[in-house]
Amino acid sequence: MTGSEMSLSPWREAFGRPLPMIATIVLGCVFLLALLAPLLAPYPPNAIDLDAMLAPPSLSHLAGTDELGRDIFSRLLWGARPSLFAALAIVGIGASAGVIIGAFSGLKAGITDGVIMRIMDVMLALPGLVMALALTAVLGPSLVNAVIALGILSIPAYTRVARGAALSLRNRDYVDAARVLGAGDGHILLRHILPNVLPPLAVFMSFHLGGAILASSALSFIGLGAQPPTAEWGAMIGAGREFFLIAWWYVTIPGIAILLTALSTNIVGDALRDVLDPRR
Amino acid sequence: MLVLVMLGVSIVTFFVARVIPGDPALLIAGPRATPEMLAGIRADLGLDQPLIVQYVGYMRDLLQGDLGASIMTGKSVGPELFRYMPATLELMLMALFLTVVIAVPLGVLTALKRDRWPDTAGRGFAMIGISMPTFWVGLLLVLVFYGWLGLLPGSGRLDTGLAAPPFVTGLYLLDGLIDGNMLVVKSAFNHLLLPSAALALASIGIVVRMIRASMIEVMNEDYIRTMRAFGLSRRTIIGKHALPNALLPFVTVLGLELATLLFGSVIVESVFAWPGVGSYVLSAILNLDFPIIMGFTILASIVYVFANLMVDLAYLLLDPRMRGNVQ
Repeated sequence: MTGSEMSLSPWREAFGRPLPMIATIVLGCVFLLALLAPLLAPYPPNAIDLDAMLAPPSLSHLAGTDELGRDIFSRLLWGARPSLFAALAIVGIGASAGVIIGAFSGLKAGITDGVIMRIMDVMLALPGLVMALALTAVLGPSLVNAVIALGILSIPAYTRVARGAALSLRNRDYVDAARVLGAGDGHILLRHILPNVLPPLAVFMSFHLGGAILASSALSFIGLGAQPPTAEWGAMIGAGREFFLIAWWYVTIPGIAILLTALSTNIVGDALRDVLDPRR
Repeated sequence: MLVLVMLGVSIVTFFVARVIPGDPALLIAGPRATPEMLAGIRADLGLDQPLIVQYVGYMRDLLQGDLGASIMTGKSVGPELFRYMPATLELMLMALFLTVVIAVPLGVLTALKRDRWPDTAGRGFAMIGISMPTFWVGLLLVLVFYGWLGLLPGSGRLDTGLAAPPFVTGLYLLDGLIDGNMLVVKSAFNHLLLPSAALALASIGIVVRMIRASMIEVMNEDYIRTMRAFGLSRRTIIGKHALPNALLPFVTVLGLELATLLFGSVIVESVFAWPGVGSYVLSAILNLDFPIIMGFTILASIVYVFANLMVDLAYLLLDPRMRGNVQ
């Protein structure tokens, strides 16, 4: 058996099982649909058709229409863009800031580390989603502000992951060797700490992605995220709640989109953990 | 540590309320404020003072329980929050109850039947539970159980025409029992079922996964194997020895899950027109009634921090090893 085959087998074992494989394919399709929305959507997302208000699913409107006669299937495709963008941006903000702060903190140790980690402890002691709600309200209701709020509040969790790795690595011989050779903090961070943080980080990010989709769509649902007429999954359900008893498809179908996406990221997260973090 | 965290909480909320907005007076006075009102609020908050002086004033108000007044109604936020509190508390307690009675047995079952069909089904249920948006679950429950089947009420706390029971705790289910009015008890229970189920689902998913993991770990411990070798019955081993140990981390998770429940209550109450703190806050969000939003945030933070302190204390009581660490 060659080296590459050996390193490939745990991946094949984890992602070769039917569920993780389907989840990966579903996630890929969701991203592809979001990307190709302008080509695939049968109608423009905001095209009003007062002759087809609240029409049930049919051949001309695959997922029915809303109270303004807008095609829900088209809005679903277009809505994948802000929904996925929001989730990716939240994870991006939390991961990049958290890893830099955490790795720096662990590398420096001492007082710097103490102060940074106490601040993170306080942030972790707060109910994160409630704080995100308040922060978004202060910044002004919009999807970008919701993303900023949720991103900032996810920093401490990443900081912990990165700090743990940095602390355990800072006194390793090869890090010392790099330092003796004149490497700066930035170089050590990028070349030696980051590659070692990546496996636990990837697992955490995939779970966070699912949570971020749920959180950002929840803020949109209560009116703090994406604003009308933007097609976004949470906001679509928020708009549909007045009509859902007479038009079941209005809230049901966007909800299935959120569920499938979040479920797939969680399943992929489980599989990633099996590969990258076999202790658990 | 508690003092430090509470100090941190006050600093964070101070920053969110007073520093991040360019002009907090504009937020507090609302969109229809006159320049005179704005000037009054600025003077009142001391916005021309250095930040540290502002913070001291902010803390003084907080410690006196003064959370400011609503823009829309002019009513003081603190007493209003407490007026809506019992309804939310009833909802959260019911959700917590559902979490415990569903998630604990399910978690144990999946662990004991590892890799067989009850495990697969239970894990699938848990995975779907944590992947479902709470607001969507709420709407679906209303659609199916109220709209289609007509089995359960879709909104409110009691049937129309029923008067609220005499106030003792503010929890209708409990007050109805105390009053001996079974009609109220039944109606309150029916109204509680759907919203608390929607609120509990995500927590159930998380707790099932956690209990499964800790139960599997405990069942692999040496002392369990020893008991087996000594011929203790499976029932004794699981009920008396494995389960109590597997439940320990559950206490911590419950404390952390409170954050999900606090945010979830805003969402679920809005779906079910549940007249609690969440609905109060949601209407404030729609009107950008800022003092209410901040008041809720501060209250939720205090509740959350104290609940997790209680969890830490409970750990000391439940786990003798922790006591050793403290000494």
